[in-house]
Formats: sequence, structure tokens, C-alpha cells
Amino acid sequence: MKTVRRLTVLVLVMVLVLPTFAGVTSAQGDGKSLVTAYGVGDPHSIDPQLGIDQRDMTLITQLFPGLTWQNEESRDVELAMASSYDVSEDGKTYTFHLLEQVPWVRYNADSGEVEALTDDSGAPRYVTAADFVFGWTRALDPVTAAPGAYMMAPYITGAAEFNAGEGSADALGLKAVDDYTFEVTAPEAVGYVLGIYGLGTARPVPAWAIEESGDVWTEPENIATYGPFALKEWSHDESITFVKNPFWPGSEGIGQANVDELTIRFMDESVQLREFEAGGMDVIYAPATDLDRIRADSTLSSELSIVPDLCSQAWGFNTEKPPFDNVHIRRAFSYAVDRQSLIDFVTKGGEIPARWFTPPSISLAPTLEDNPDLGIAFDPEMAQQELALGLADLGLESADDLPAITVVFGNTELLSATAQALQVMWEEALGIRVELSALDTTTYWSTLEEDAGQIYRAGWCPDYNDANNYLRDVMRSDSLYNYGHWNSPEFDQIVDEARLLTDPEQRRELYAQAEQLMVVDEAALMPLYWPITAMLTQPDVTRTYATTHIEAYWKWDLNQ
Amino acid sequence: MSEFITRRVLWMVFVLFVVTVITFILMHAVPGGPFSTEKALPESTIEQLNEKYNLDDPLVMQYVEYMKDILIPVVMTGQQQKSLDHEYLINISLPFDDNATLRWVNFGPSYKSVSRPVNDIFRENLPISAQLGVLGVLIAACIGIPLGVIAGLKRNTVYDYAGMGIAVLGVSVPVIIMAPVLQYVFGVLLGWLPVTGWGEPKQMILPTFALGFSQSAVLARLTRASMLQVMHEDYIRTARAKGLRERRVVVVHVLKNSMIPVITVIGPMLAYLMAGTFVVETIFAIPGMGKFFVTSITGRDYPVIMGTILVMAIFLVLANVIVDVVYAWIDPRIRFT
Amino acid sequence: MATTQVQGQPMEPVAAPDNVVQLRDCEQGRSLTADALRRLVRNRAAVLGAIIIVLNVFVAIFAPFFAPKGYDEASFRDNNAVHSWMTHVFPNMKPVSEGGYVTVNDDYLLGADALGRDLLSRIIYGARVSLAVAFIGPAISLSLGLLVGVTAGYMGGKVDNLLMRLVDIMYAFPTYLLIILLMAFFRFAKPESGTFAGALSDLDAALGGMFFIFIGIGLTSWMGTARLSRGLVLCVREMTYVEAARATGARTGWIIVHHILPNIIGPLVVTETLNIPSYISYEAFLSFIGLGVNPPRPSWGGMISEGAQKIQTYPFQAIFPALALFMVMFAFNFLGDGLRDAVDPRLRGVE
Repeated sequence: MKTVRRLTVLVLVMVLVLPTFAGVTSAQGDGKSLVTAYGVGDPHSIDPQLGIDQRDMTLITQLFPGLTWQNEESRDVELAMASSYDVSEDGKTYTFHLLEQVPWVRYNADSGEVEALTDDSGAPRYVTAADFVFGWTRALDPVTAAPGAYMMAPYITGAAEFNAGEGSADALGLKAVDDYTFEVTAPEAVGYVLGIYGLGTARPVPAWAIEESGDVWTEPENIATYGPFALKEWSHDESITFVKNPFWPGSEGIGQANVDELTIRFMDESVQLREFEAGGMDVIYAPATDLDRIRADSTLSSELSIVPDLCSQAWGFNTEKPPFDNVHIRRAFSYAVDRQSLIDFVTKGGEIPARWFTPPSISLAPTLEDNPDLGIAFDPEMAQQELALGLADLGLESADDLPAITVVFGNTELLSATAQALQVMWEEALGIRVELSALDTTTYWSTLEEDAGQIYRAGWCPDYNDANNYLRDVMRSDSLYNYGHWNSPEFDQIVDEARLLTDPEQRRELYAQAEQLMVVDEAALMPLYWPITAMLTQPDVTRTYATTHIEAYWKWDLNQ
Repeated sequence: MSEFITRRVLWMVFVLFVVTVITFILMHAVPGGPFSTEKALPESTIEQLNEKYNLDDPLVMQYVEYMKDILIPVVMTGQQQKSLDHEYLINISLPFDDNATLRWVNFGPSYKSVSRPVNDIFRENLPISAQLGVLGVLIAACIGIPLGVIAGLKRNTVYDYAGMGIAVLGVSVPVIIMAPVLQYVFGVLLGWLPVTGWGEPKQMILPTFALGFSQSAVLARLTRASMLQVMHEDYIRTARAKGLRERRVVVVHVLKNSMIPVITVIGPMLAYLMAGTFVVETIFAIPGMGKFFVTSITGRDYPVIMGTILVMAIFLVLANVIVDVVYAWIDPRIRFT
Repeated sequence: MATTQVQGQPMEPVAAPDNVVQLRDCEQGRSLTADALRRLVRNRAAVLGAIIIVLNVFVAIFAPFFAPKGYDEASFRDNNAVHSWMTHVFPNMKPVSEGGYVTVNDDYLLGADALGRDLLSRIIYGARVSLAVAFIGPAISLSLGLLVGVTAGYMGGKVDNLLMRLVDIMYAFPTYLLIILLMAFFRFAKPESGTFAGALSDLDAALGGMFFIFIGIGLTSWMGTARLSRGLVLCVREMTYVEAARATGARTGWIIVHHILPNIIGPLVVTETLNIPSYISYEAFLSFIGLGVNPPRPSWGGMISEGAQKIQTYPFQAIFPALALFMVMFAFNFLGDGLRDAVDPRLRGVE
């Protein structure tokens, strides 16, 4: 019986191990509150200088508006923290007049209020030009290692050197003329620089708060912000909760928040949909896999919104690896892809078949209306012809003699489906069977830079709204993102010239030429489609539909 | 016995050491790093980031630094700057100075979620996984043990097949399917229970059931086997021969004795489940630690990889030691070797 | 000394610890005798399980004869198409003609997947992966586990201690890291043909990427077997017949093969059979986290985790492969239980 007694003790101990769990009920105030979702996993950072992707930038913008804001629907550059600006005659110096007396604020968890912060002497702390100088300098400082620094650097005098650890902060073309006048000087005059000056990395940050709390200053109890929302809570990996900042005066581009509270959850898309259908969420991303049902469902279809976004899906050829060092083979593969089928039967979102790389809604990109014959499209006969030419070039009898082709891709659902569809299309149109090889995504990304496969994925989402970001930044021969090592002096020359021209029509013309060269004449890239953003919104929510992936949460409202 | 335990604990330390070394080497050998993102960063930025996190030091140095931060306690005095470097799991105020604290165990920062220390994961996510794990095991026991008992008592009857059938159903339906179906039926269709989240008792029902049901087969099968064995032990025959009522024989003798192996299995099971379960946590959007086992590896978040694997290793090694000890304690026939 | 086994799947304990055989029973001998087989055959559930497994293996081997179409034969137009009978079983899948969203096409008995490939054919071909895992898992586990366990148990002392600590280490081994590392090496770097690494790479390509699943299972499965076999060896070692053999000067290898192995293999086989379902679900889990077989090769795990994403819209794409998986898991479970009952000496003559 000793055994039995010991057993009983054990069972008791085990039951006692059970932790007591208290029911945590989140008290909802009387105000309007919304719940939405954005992505899976924790955001990298809400520190403007440390954010990386569009989700980080979305969150950062609610808290730290930039000088300018790219309207999420029209994509026009509007003024946000700047109330006006002047440009010098040579077009290189911009003088921004800031909104005055915008206080730094913090949410006080004890009082449940957003409070304007004061310094030690009790004087209110306002966002000033000095904060801009500090934030921008911090962004360019190599010690910060800001992921977005390289995008700003070419547009600020002395920035490239400083960021490379050679120049000094004093030599930067940044100046706080007075509290509310901020002056930036660029080495060259470029037309789209207002968009650059509004980038998520180019935001003011509170030097004193960072001094006080170091690398944990972005936690709710330490942070200081000034935008339409203030940070209430950040349950890492789970959700972020914003509350309305009553002190934000509102400006042309970024108005005051309409809702009192907004929670952004980080979760799987198919789970979002179930939570949405159960009524637990107000706005979600609609999973592509369920679009068929959503469209057919009378309720869900009325809640569905599909807007084209500014990204582009394409696959590239490694022009250094056979057989894709041959332009005819590249063209054959590109002609063989039936983009419309891919969209209708695989991706299903009503994407637009891409005839070239830059989406037409990007500023100065070629448009489908003006360029009906530009670019490449599905053409099985052309594909056959090009294949024959290519084989002749290489002195091969048939496609079977080509070197083995392996398509390596990062194993996500969309890419896997795309790769499998392309495999079928190539086999049908060219009689060439490519092998697929799925890698874990990070391995794939890291191999791209070192040694991209024969065919690689070359999707892109813009950093700023100008065709330069697609063509010169991605495909110039020395670009980091030109994974296929495509080297065309002609292309380089066109995009270099287009960048510094001031006449928009001339630039548009040149970009159309560059596209034709890249996707048809040289077929370095195989454009697939211009994607869409599909979302579901409960009927009692009014909102705008961002095409930029950067949501303007302050414009969202709940109709009661 | 105390010598046995001492030796096992010493070995445990050695095992943990080797696990950290292997993990450290492997994770640095895997292609890509924490800053390999979908949109590549320029070489110079990566270098700056590597420098910021000391990833450009020789591996041995990095390992030593990492282990030092975990193992060596430090005494800090004066006003402390808030910083991830000062983020320790154990903080004990020292009596001799107002501001002096003894700090111990710093698992470092997460590279992917930059303002977050790995310690946070242990403080915030691990307890949630532990709750989920304990509740899951309880449910598994509540379903599995009675089914096993019935099946054992009524061997090769309809009850046996039905009981084991239910248990095997739990293990055979993948949680990836069971969880969404539960969410759809109880959350969307009936609207009785919340679809996702953790914290309120209502939110715990579906995930713990999904987890518990999937584990119940193990316990059911084990209980059944153990019942069958015990029922044919000599002392049970003796009890029967003495004329004890069958009910009493079953409850007092068979049941209690056949629980021994079941309990020794529940220990390691708890260890696994308390460290977190990826699928259940992902589908029910539970902020537990299980996700990090996978996401830290796919994201190459080195400190999180090290931290989670180390915690897992501690749980497992402890569970094994405890099972050995408990097993010997319950069953005196077993010698300590 | 305990023999508790933990099925080593640190991150996803699908069917974690199983402690089917108790060490204290070793002295009574449990082996796969003709007698045990007879008892197994009398167990209806176990026999049914065995039949299901044999049928599945048959179908998997001769998949091209049974599958109506090729597993990668895609007709995009028929993406997510269903057979008309399915619209009655799944009421939410209303055909387009009735205002729903589903294309009906009776060419596909179990419907088609997202790329318009016949689901039935993919399930039939997919059986190859799951069944390969079902047999290779135990093979790896038994060979490695026996090697380590028998050596540790028979040699005892320092060797024993070291090997058992190795087992402890392997429990906490970061398996995914190793799988990712090997994948990057073999799938991307593509070592030269002709070398050993090249051969492995070719093997993986030939297997459609299954190789890494085997590695994963190999790394996580053998420790339980090692612990169990060590425990069994420890007590068999002291048996009189082993003592006798040793006294007559028999060589160690001979003793192990002739006296020890036959006496411990029974419980090990039983345990392995019962572990098979957890190997199979391990494949499903690896697919779920993106480390599964190479597309377009189908596997049940891959199909299930893909289908689960759209289980509300096209439930059949997850449910049919899950049913196949379910059937095989069920079969292995009952066969395993039956085997255990059969070799349990206490149950002799119970019926």
C-alpha cells in the first residue's frame, strides 16, 4: 500500500502544479474601437530608424508622421508634418516649415489618458526641426545600422560618406534653421525627392527619450510619439494597440484619428478569416485561397475590396548560367507563360497580367492605354520560334540537349503554386521539364545575393512612388537586386539619364524604352502579374483602401 | 540515492553544455542570417548590423560572450540605464546599497523584434505555453485514462474497440484539421466560443481540447496495456481468491497499480507540451512559446534559437531525471545504477 | 532504472511518450513466436489493420495502375473542381449553376486540387511518401537505437554512461536546423555527381525530397529505442543462459546475436509499430512548416496542410487526404496493439 500512498502524493503534486489562471478581461471603453490584422509574427521595430518592411512603416507612420505622406489611394505626395516648403532655385535645397507646437505624447496606463510630455522644468516638449536633424542623422549614422539608410543617403549631401563611416555628421546637408524650419540639401536635383523625404526612416525621434531608455525606448512605458495615434500596448508577437492622440492637430495629409482605439493583431490569414466571420475583427486581409467562396457569398462579397497595389510579381533569369545566358532561350521561357491563366486559375485575385515590370500605377511608368504594344505576353508560337533560334545558337538538336534546369524557390504557398504552374506551362509550350526545388525562405533569400539559381523570383514592392525605384534601383547592372547579373550598358544609360531629367513626359518615354529593352529585347526578367490587395471590411467600418500597403488608420471610422 | 541524483545533475549540466555548443555551431552553419530578408539589405548595412550585435567576432568569442551573459551573475550599482544589456531574468536587491542589485541570466536581445529581450519570451510566452500544456495534459488524462480503463476491463469487446477507436481518432486526425474545424463549428457557426486568443477561460476550451484529444491516445493505450498486465499479476489473483468483490479489486488494486507507468509517461509529456506546441498556438493565435521553436529558426534569430532550445533541453533532461527518480521511488524493485 | 520512452519530437509532440513495455517483464521473455502469431491472427482488429496496410502498400507500389491520372497532370481550368456527389456531402460547396462557387466536373472522382490535378491520383501517389516514412522510420530507429542501446547495455560502465548521455543530448538536438542546413546543401548547392554528397543529392532528387524527412525522423526517433533496448539488455544479460554462454567462452558478438537479440526484439517491434503513426504525422508537420517533399510530388502531409488553409472553402482537399492518413494511422495503431497483446506472456490463454 506504500506504493499507492506515494502515487496519491504524486497526483496531488501534479494537480498543484496547475497554474492558477486569472481571467483577464480587456475592458472596452465607450469609445469607438477597431480590430484589424496585419501580417504574422512580431514587427521588427516601431523605431522609425530601425523599421524594415511596409508593416513596420505603417505602424511608424501612425506614431511618427513624416514631412510628407504619400496618399494611400491617390499615391500623391501630401504634406504631413510640413505645413509648407520652399525649393531653392537649383532644386537641391528644400526648406520645410513644420507644424508648430505639436507635443510629444505618451499613453499613461494608470490614468488611461494620452499625456503631453514636459521637460524637467515643466515646459512642454514640442516636435522641432532639431528632432528632425537628430532623427535623420541617427538614420544615417552607421552605428544605428538603419536598414533604410541606403535609400535616403543619395538624396542628402554628405550622407553617403557619413553612412559609410567616412564623413562626419556636421557635414550632412541637414539644418534646423529655427524651431520649426528644417532645411535639407541634396547633391542633385531629382523630381521625386519629396517622396524620399517622407520615407519611414526619415522621421524625427525624441533624443531625450532615447537617451533615457536606450534600445527599449519603443516600449509603451518609455516611448514618446506625436502622430494621430499613441501607443497603448504592445503584446509582442500578438498585437499592438493604439489610442487616439488628441494633441495631434491634423494636417493636409494626416488628419486626426477618427477612432479612439485600434488594435492590430498578428496572425495567420486563414485564421483571420474565421475570426472575421465570427465577428471578432473589423478589417482583415482576405486569403487568396478563400476568394472563390468569398465572392460567391452574399454577405462576404459585399465586404470584399480588391485594389491593385504597387507591387510587381516577376521571375528573373540568371544571365550568367546556361542555358539562360542565351537571350532566345530567355525569351522562349517568357513567351511560354500564360499570365492570364495564372491569374484566372491559380492566384485568382483578379490581378493584372504584367507586360512589363513596373506597375502602370507607379509614377511615370508606362501605362497600358498609351503603350498597347509594349512588353511581352503569352505567345506559344513565338516561344517555339525563340526556342528554335536558341537551340540553333547553341548548336543543339533538341530541347532535350539543354542543360538541366532547376527552379529554386522559397517555400511559401504562393510561390510553390506559381512554380508548379510555370513548370506545367513550360512543359506544354516548350516541351521542357524543369525541376523544382523548394528551400526554406531565409536560405533562399540568402542564396539570391551570392548565387541566384537559373531562374529566380524577382518580385518588388516600391520604396517610393517613381519608376526609378523599379528600374534603376532594381535592374541597373550594379544594383544589389539585379540577382541575375544582367549587364546592359544601354539600359544603365537610359535609366541614369531618366533619373535626372525634369520633364516628366521625357522620363516616361525613357522608362518605356527601358522596359522594352529589359523584358523583350534582352528578356532579363519575366514579368508575371501586378498583384492586388484583397481585404474584408465589416459594413459598419468606413475606411480608405491603401494601394501602397501602408494603411492610413487615422482615416478609418466606425459608424455607430 | 543522493549520490545518484548528484551524478545525474552533473551529467545534466554536461548535456546542456553540449546541446548549446551543437546548436550554436549548427545555427551559424545554416545559410542566411538574421538580416537576410526578402528584400535584401545592402552589404554595408549588414556589416553595420553585424557589428552592432557583435556577429563579426570569431564564433568562439561569440559563444563565450553569450554563455557569460547567461551564467555569470553581475552586481550593478547606481542608477541603471534602461537597456537590453541590463535585462536579466533574476534581479535580487542587495541590502548594502539602495540601488545595488544582483543580476543573473541574460539571454540577449531578439534580432527580429529589436526592442525585445529573449527573457521576455520566457516571462510572457512560456507561462502561456505552460498553461496550455498543463491543461492539455489534464484533458488528455481525462479522456485517455477512462477510455483505457474501459478498454482494459472489457478486452476484445465492443467497448474495447470503441474506446480505443475514439482515442486513436484523436491521434489520427491531424491538429491542422481538427483545430480549424473546431473553430468553425464552435466559433463561426454556433458562436459559442471565441475563435482565437488566450487569457479568458472561454478562449482556453478549444485549444486545450484540440491538444488534449490528440494526446489522449497515448494515455489510453498505455492505461489499457497496463491494466491488462496488472490484472494478471499474482497479487490480483490472490485478492480475487480471497473473495474480494470484483469492484473493489478493480478500484483498489488494478487501477492504482496500473497508473504507475501512466504517470511516468505524463512527466515527459508535460515537458514537451509545456514548452509549447507550434500548430495549436499558430491556429488559435495563442502567444505561447511554441511558435518560436520554428519561427526563430526560419528567421535565424540566433539568441531566440539558443534560448528556446536551451529551455527545451532543460525541460527534457529534468523530466528524464525526475522520471528515473520517481520511477525508482514508486517501484522499489528498481535499483539506482 | 526506467525505460520510459519519449518520442523525440521536441517541437511537435504528435503522439509523444509511449511506454508500452515495462522492463520488469523482461525475465518472462516476450518474443515473436509462432504462438504469438497465432494469437495475433485471432485478434480481429489487428488483422483488419494488417490487411489495410498491405492493401495500401500494394496501391502505393502500383500507383500508376491505380491512379486515374498522373500526380502532376494539371488542367488549370479544373482547379478546385468537384465531382457532383461531393456537392451533396459538403453542403457549403454549392455549384456555380446554383449560385455557388464550385465547378463540377465528374472526371474527378474525389475532385481536383488548386492546380486542377486529380485529387484521388495525388492521394494514391501520396501514399508512397507516408508509407515510406512508416517503414523507414522504424528501420532507422531500430538500427540506430539497437546499436546504441545494446552496446550501452551490454558493455555497461563508462560506455553505457556516455552513450546514454548522447541519447539525452539528441533529445534536445535542434533537428530543424540540421534539416534546413542539409536541404540548403543538397538541394541548392547541388554537389558534384559521383561523390558521396552527390549521390545523396541525387537520391534526394529521385525521392522527390523525401530524404530530409527520413533524416529528420532518424534524428528524432532512435533515442527511445536505444533507452528501451538498453533496459532490456540489462536484464537479459543476467539471465542464466547468457551467463552460461559466457562461461563457455562464447564470443560477445555471438552471444548478442544468438541470445540477446532474439529475447529483446519482440517488445521493440511492438513499440516501433505503435510509434509509426507519430512518424507519419511528423511528415505532415514538416510539410506544415515548409520542410516537406519537393513539389509537385504529393504527400498526404503536404496535401493536408495545404488543404487546411482553405478548409472552409474547399474542405475536400484537406479531408480526403486526412481520411487516407486516418485509415493508415488507425490500421497501424490496431496492429501495434494487437502485436503487443500477442507477445504479452501474461495474456496467454486468456481467451
